[in-house]
Amino acid sequence: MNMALHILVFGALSDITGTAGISWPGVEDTDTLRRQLSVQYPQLATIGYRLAVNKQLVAHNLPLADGMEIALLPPFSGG
Amino acid sequence: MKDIFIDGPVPPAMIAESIQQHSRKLNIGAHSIFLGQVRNDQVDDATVTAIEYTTYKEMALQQMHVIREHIITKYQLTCMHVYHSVGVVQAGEICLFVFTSSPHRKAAIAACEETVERMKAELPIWGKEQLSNASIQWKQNS
Repeated sequence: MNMALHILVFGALSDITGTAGISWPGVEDTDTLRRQLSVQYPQLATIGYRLAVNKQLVAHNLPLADGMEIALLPPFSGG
Repeated sequence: MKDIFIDGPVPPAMIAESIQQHSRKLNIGAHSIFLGQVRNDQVDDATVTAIEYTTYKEMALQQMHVIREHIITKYQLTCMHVYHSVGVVQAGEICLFVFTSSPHRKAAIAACEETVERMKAELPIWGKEQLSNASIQWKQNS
């Protein structure tokens, strides 16, 4: 799989990754992505986050494809 | 799709202007207005002096559209206006303005409350609190 994913990182998570956007080698699904992220950034476990793919929250394992917009969303704190 | 985001605090004059603009809509009998103000929370020996808001804007606007359509239909509102700050809002300034209008008061009041609760729960917006000791803390909603 040659695709690369661009992942948007929001809120407190950007303090952990050090940036608001990270490039990541393509993976087959969101469960795999989460596992890889937790290895690269163990501190992610301290905050907890949800994944959005193409601006929709993802509750279950979702296959990933080239061009999908992925975002890591910590708990919301608007208002 | 309406853009609910404005840079910096909601100016008080905007609230007065919204009221003025709605005086043309003669079927309205009630407005309910909610204003969220940045509070100087105590954090150990420091206080919150400002909050910097950021958002996943496209997703927030999509979700706000869903919330808006649902609430306007549910409560048969005449209209609804929502503004949320992005960027820095100082303690004492307004960061959220929700305005619901209806022929009758119960719908306007209930719709306003439900809108505020849903926005806080469902919109991808984050607040970074600036503290008086020059440190920061990420806001946590309750």
